Amino acid sequence: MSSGMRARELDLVSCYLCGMVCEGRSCCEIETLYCWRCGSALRVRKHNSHARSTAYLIAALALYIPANIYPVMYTKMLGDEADSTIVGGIMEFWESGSWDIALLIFLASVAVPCTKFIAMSFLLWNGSTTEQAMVGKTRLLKFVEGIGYWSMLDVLVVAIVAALIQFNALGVAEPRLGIVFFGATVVLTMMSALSFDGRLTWDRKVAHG
Amino acid sequence: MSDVRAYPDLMLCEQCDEVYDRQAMVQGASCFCSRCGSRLGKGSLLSIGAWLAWTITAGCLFIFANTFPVATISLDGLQSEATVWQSISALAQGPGTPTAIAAGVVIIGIPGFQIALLLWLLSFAAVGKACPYFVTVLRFLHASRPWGMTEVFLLGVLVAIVKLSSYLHVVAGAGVVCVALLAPLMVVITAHDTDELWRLYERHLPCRVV
Ligand SMILES: [Zn+2]
Ligand SMILES: [Zn+2]
Repeated sequence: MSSGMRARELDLVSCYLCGMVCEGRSCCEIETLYCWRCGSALRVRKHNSHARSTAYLIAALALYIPANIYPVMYTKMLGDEADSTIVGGIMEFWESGSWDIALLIFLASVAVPCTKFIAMSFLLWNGSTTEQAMVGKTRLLKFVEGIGYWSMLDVLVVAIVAALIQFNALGVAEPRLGIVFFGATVVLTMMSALSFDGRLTWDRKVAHG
Repeated sequence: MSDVRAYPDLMLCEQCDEVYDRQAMVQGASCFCSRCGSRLGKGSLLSIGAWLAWTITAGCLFIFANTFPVATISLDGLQSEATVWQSISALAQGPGTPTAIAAGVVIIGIPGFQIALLLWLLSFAAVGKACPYFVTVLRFLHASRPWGMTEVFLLGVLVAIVKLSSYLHVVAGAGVVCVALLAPLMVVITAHDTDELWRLYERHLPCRVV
């Protein structure tokens, strides 16, 4: 099944879009070659992968701070007026007895982003090249890509609550600045994972032998 | 097309660049890279006809999900119900504009766009033709894949209903049922392997170099 060969040895490169394997890997850095089937530009690695991924990650980390400081939603219902932050919202669910919803929002708004920060930093700066570590890192990247978008939950909850309340004269709910920062954090962590090229980890292994 | 030499029988592992023989892989049940353990291709679970049928189903559900109310809110006899579209556009009027736009894009814009592209692509493919703008359509589908969030939306609606029910009487509407059915369908139709479509496109290329 496997030829036991890597594409570099055979001078091959695959198209990111259609997966067609084309010849001329060594020429790719000098001139732009196009996929024989779909005409996309052939690239050996995602463009500037490490730098872009790092930049998105740092921006996401920076925005996560105001996302937690500023309130995400303002509510005024039955005379109760409140500005709630992400953590405040979780506490409110917890105290009202819906621990399951509290846990869900905690997972989506705190656990998933923090896992992503740690996992992406690990992928970007960990240099170990043992077989096990490489397989682990490949799985970790897939995992991070898979869980990332669930963090959008809080943004959607705020949007839906505020939107539904618009139709009822008895309450007011408005999104606040914090949710914009939080949404940006989620988008940036997703961009960070998407621009990270998993093959870079394996390149490092080859370089170290 | 350029004069690059292509090898349709080979494929590379997306994660580590190991070279594989496509022919040998179709029969082999295990489709995981022996070097890094990641999946090679997604496997064609559906025929093009079935894929198109599910896309049409998803299209209908998408329309229902946007026309039926997601929730009915009532308090002291005052009752109101709202569809997704109505709620999002109402939110966009006030200070919640950025949130409304973001939510609108990931729950209505992108899924709708993906369904429309797939309908166009697959209705040509079902009769053995490559649709006009084939490559552009696939490029858009590829780029939009991570940004459709119907399943997160489903969870979001449920959480929002629980949250509001502590103040008001809220009942989930028929729209939520449609979203619940649509969410798994979106995963099936957007994550499906496009390899068969590319082979179809390849047969229609004006000249074959290999
Ligand atoms: Zn291609
Ligand atoms: Zn591999």
